[in-house]
Parts: sequence; structure tokens; C-alpha cells
Amino acid sequence: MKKFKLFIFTLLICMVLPKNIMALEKDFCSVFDKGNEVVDVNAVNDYENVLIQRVNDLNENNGKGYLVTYRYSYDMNINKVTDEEKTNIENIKVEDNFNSYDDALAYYNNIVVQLPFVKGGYKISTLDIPVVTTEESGSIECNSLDCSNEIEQLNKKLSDNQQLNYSIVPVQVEGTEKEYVVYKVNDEVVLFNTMEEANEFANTYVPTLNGYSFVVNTINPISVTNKVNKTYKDLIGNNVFDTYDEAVSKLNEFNANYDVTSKKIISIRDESKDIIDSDVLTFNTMEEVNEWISENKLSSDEGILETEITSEKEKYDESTISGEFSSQALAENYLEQLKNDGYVVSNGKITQVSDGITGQVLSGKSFPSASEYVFATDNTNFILIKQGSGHFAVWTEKPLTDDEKNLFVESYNTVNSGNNKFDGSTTNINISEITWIDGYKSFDLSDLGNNWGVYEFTSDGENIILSCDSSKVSHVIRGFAQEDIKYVVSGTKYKERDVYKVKYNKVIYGYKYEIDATALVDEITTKYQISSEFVKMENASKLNYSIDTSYINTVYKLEYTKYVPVIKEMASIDWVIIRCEYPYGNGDVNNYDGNGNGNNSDYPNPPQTGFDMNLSMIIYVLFGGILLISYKACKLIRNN
Amino acid sequence: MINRKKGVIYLVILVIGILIFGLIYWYWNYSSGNYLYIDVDIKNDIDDANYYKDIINEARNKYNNNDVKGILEIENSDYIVPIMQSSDNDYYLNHTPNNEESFMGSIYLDYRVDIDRSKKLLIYGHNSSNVDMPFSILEEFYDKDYYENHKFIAITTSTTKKRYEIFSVYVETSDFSYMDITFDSDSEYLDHIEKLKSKSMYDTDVTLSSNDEILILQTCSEHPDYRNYQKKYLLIILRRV
Repeated sequence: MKKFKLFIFTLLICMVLPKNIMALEKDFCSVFDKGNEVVDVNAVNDYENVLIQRVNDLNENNGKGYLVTYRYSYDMNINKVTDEEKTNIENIKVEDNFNSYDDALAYYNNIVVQLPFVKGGYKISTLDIPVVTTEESGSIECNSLDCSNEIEQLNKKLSDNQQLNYSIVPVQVEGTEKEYVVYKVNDEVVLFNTMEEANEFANTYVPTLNGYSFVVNTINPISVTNKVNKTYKDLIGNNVFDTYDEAVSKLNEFNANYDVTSKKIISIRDESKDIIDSDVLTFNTMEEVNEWISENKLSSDEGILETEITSEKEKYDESTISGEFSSQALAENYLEQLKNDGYVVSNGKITQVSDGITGQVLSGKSFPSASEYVFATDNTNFILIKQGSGHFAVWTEKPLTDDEKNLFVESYNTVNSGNNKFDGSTTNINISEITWIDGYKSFDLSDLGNNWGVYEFTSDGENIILSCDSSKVSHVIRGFAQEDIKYVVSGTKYKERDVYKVKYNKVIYGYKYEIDATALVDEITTKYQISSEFVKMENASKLNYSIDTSYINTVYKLEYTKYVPVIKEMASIDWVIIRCEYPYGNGDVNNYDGNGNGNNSDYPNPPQTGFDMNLSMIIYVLFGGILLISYKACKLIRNN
Repeated sequence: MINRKKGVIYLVILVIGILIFGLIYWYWNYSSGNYLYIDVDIKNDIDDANYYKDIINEARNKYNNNDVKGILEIENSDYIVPIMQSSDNDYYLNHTPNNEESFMGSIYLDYRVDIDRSKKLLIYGHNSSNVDMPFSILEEFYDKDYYENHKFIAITTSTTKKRYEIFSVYVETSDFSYMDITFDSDSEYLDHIEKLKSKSMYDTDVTLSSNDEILILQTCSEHPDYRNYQKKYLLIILRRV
């Protein structure tokens, strides 16, 4: 039964043991001391050294307890805090007074201090100030010299907190007697030429007169007669004349009527009266040129002659040339002879022209009846008109001689025969059957018979054109006869010689005449004098006074501080000293480094991964208990 | 009298039943293999962006917890567990991957590191000499023969599977600078990992460089040599191969 009770007792102890007793490092430790300290952040190490020293002292001197060994360690929790220190504190009194507390506070709130200063606190206090204000002041001219009546009247106006302050000043006042003084310098009255000058002076001139008071300056006009020099122009008017004689006449007249002091006549250039001659003259020699210039030369008063001399060739004996020659050589000899005679031939040329046909017919061709025929001059220089029977009309540009007519008929019959015949109706014509016409014009041949009419010959330069009534034409033969040639000379011939051209501009100056004369005459002018008015001064009294009111004025004074804040970094140290208990013989007391669990490195303490429990003991107790209970139970059952 | 004895007998039998039920319940709930291990076959060097992502998502669905950041497996063993990560290093010290409070805790990644991008990873887990805790297996590495057969450990993330080789095994009692993850220069980093290598309890014949990515597995040591130390962390330190 005793074993059973022992078992139950052991079991109860195991069950009531705190669960955490199995953790070695925790259950035997407790806070030995703790506290908080705020130190400068730079003094943390110093403070920790103090803690270390204290822990070492505790481990050394208080390490042994009853049945246990004490081991002390510390831990620190550091929080950095900032603290503001006020330096360079200045207490400032504001000179201004404020009417109210709010005004002073508003002034303080608006104060801006220059960095690094910042505003500190403020103090507003009151101050009573006696104030005297003048309600009324002024000056009174007294009726008597002692001003007693005036003072009595003012005293009657005073209230309780008012006071009359006054002073009596002897003064002088203006009387009724007046005095006038004319402005003089060195006893001579000063006269001003103009009203403006007098006004300007009078406005600034303040004269004095003993016993009198200056009143005003007045300006008085005064007439003054003077002898003055006047010019002819001022007195007479126009003094410029076209002729010298007229000017002399006018000056003599002036001299007779005035007290002349000077006189003369001045010649004045008048460009409007200049005579200008411009031309170009031709001279055969330079000597003639110089002679002309010498004759026309002008003095500087007379005028100016400007010339420009040039030399050039001049044509003379100029005429057209014409001539007809039977050959080219004769024509050329003619032109050569002109050059030999000293002529210059301009545009000279030799033209070959026809001098009419010779009558010798060379070819022909027949054309039927028509109203117009156009034949080129290259192959046509005669036209034969056939109408009716037994008569012909032959046209040439120029008239033919009788020999040429005979030759024409003879050669025509010859050419218009045989195999070369070009018109059968005009073979063997007879000269008596022919009417000869020539030139470019109209021919009325109606006299030849009723069947003949009007025939017109014209030329367009390249063609001969025949116009007629077709009923008046049987047919027409155009033909070409041999022509006579002549050579026509044309152009201009002239001779050349050297000449001198003088281009001149001659200006003969024109003048007018001015009378320059002066004469003394009387002149009346107005001058101005200044007269100053004064009034006589008399003795009197003047009362200067003021009525003053006295009262107390309460004002507010402001004082404030400013300072330079210095932010300090402080460390708030929460420290704790832990005391752990160990049974004697456990713990590395000898090798303990004094820092305990405190770790001031940058890494944390290792996790407490150790774990211990007397589990085996519990199991042994449990199994022992079970075996014991089983034994007792079996024994009890067997006994029963 | 008989009835009273019968009552005592029934009471004793009831207590025994409760005790037995308690033991079974205890074992069922706190055996690490029961809630931690996952059954998955993860292949190396799969050129498919969704392959590893699907595996991690599947693990997250299994535990209904998006804190699953990866999967840790010790080669040549059936040890394959999820890697959790929270905003501190305390939560998964006493919470299972299912977010249930338990002194068993989870295998979890230091809150300061990124499993895909950090050059140095730290993973923690509980150990106990009495109970099978999540990282009790690390105690096997005191034996160099075990190390020889299990020197490679793999971490699968949602993007890849990274393989690490052990280069240092030792128990740290006072210098916890292995927790440091910030280094000013490559030379400082190299000095750091060389120091970790120099503390190894046996030679691993591994050459280090400043370009090495390293992994530290930490649990509490139950080695009898360190029985009297308050802090005694078994560190398995690996470099990525």
C-alpha cells in the first residue's frame, strides 16, 4: 500500500509540474533589475560598458545562491529619439506699442526670423502711458496790450481735465498811413523797356522801409523821346531799283529830306536779268577759234563764257552721181575717176539693165483667147495680139526704131517657120499689118476695126499682165527677142575737210541796285517804372494759446524670443539585467564571458533549439506504476 | 467489503487504461515522423519552371501553410522535411508546419534570409536526448562514418533544387558569429567561412572560396562532452556544389 501511495504521489507531481519546466534556459531566469536611460547617441557604448561592469560585478560577487548558481546577463533595447536644444537664445523687445492684445499677437504671428533662427515664445504685457492732446490752439489779436479779456473768455471754455496754456507776444499791426517809393538805383529811377520785364522784377522785388510794412509794387508806364538811326528801307520802304540812275535819283531825294548819317548804292546780282547765249560755231582754223574767244571774253563782274572745242571732218560739195555706160569697164572707170578727183563715193554701185529689145526675135508661143494673160519677164519681152484677119498688134516695153521693127518682122517670120513654127496664123507677117504699141498702160485699138478693143498692160515686177475683153482677142503670141544691155552708175559723191566746232555758253550778268543809307529821326518810346506801396506799422499784442486734455492710454508691449535649434540624436535605452539559476555543477560558469545572453553584435542570438525533459523518468514511473497496479490488482482478485 | 474491493479494482483498471491511452496518444502526436516527414521524390536539374514550384505548392497544400519555403533532404536517408519561415526566429520553435502549437516545433529558415537569393542560409530545428525531435538526426554526424555516407544534403525551393556538401561539423558554445549574414567584403566572407571550417571536429578536405554559398543546420547538442554548457549548438555547415 505504501508503494501504491508512492506511485500516486509521483504521478501527481509529474502532472502538476508546469509544462514549461522542460525548457532549460527559460524557466530559471528572471528579471533582476531593469530601467530606462536617455543618453546621447554617442554615449551608448559608454552606458553599455557600465552595464557590463555591473553584470561582471554581480557574477563575481553575487554568483552563489542557496543550492544554485546565479548567472547574470543584461539586455538592452535602444530606441533612437531626437531632442531639440535651443541655442543662441535672444530675447527681443518690440519697440512699437500695440492698441490691443490681438494686434500684438498678430504682429508676433507675422514675425519672420532669418534662418538659422526660429521663433520662440512670446510675452504680451500692458503699459499705462499718460497722454496730453491738444484739443484747440490758435492765435488771437488782442484788443489791449495785456490780452486779459481774451484769456478770461478762454478759461470759461475749459472742462475738468483741460488746461489752458498761453503766451502773449508783442506784435506790430498795420496802420492807415501809406507811403509810396519809386524803385531807383544810385538815385536814378530805373526804367524797364517792356511791361514783361517790369512785371518779372516787381513780382520778386520786396523792398523795406523802416517803420512801414511793404504792401505791393505797381508798374507805371512813362513816354520817353530818343534820337535813333533809321535805314532808308525803314523810313521810305523799297530800296532796290533796276537801274543805277534810278537809285541815284532816289538817294538824292532821301538826302534832301532827312538828317542822313550814311549813304551808298550797292550793286546786287540779279540772275533773273542774266542774258544767256548758247550756240555751236564752226571754224576752219584754230586761229579763228582763239580770235573768237578773245573777242567774246568777259570779266568776272560782267559774266562768264564757257566753251568746248572739238575737231571733226566736214562734208562739202556733196551730190548724187548717175550715168549710163555701154560696158561694165566704162562704168568702173567713171567711179575711179571720181575718186581721183578727191571725191568720196558713198553707196556707189553699177547696175546692169535692159535698154529694150533689138528686134531680133528668138522664140515664141501661142495662147488662145482669154481676158487676162500673165507672162513671166524671163521668157517674154514682146506680145503679139492676133484679132480677125490681116492685122496684128505688137507690144514692147520700149518703142522700137524702124530698123528694129524691120528686124523684128524678118526674124519673127524666120523663127515661126518650118518645124519650129509656133503659130500658123502669123507666118509671113508683113510690117504693114502691124500696129506697134509700147509701155505699161492701156491702149484703145478700136480704130483698127469693130473687133478690136482696149488692151491694158501692167507689171508686178516679175510678170507682164495683159488684160482685155476676150471677145477682142483671137489669140495671143508671147515671145522673147534679143535685148540691148546698159550699165547704170548710182551713189553719192562728196569731199571732206577738217573743221573746229566751238560749243559755247555765254552768260552776261544782270544787276539791281540797293540804297544803303541811314538818317537820324526822333522816336517816342514807352518805359515802365516800379512804385512800391508801404503802410505804417503800430504796436499791439497777440495771444498764442492751446487747450490741452490729459488722459491715461493703455498700450500693449510685445516681447519674444528667437533661438537656433540644434537637433540632437539621443538614445533611449531600455535595459534589463537577467538572473538565471543553475544547479551547482551545471553551466559553463568558468568560461562565462560576462556578456551572458546580451549580444551586441549585428546578428541575433541563436534560437534555443535545445529541449530537455525527464520523459524517461515519467515513462519509467508510468510503467512501474502500471506494473505495480497490475500486481496489486491481480493479488486482490486472487485473494477474493 | 467485496463491493468496495470490486470498486477499487475497476478504478485501478480505469487508471491503467487512461495511462495506456495517454502513452499511445503521446507517441502518436509527438513522434516527429508523424507530422513532419513528407513523401516526395524530387529530381535534380529539371528544366521546367513549374516542376519545383508545383512540389512546393503541393507541400503548402499538405500543411495548409504558405510558410513552406522549401524541402530539406539528407541524401542516402529517408529524411525529407519541409522548411518553414516566419517573420522571426521564435514562431516555428514551438509550432508545427500545420500551425499547431507544439514543443516539437519545425525545421525553419532564419527570418533574415531568402531561400532562393541569399548566399548564406541558416536552418534551425529542435533536438532532445529523450524524444525524437525534428533535428535529432543531426547528432548522427558526430560519427565520421555517417558523414562519409551522408555528406550531401539538398534543398528544394520553388525554383530549383540546390545540393550542398558538408565541410564542417562542430559544437559551438560561445562564439555565435556564425549567425552573422552581413559581410563588408568577399575577403571578410571568406575569413568567416574558413573560420567555421577550422572548427570542424574532423577534416572534410573541402576547399572554400568567397563565391561559395553555404548552409548551416543548427540544433542543440546532446553530446555528453558538452553537458555542462548552457549554450551548446551542433552546427552542420555545408557549401553548395
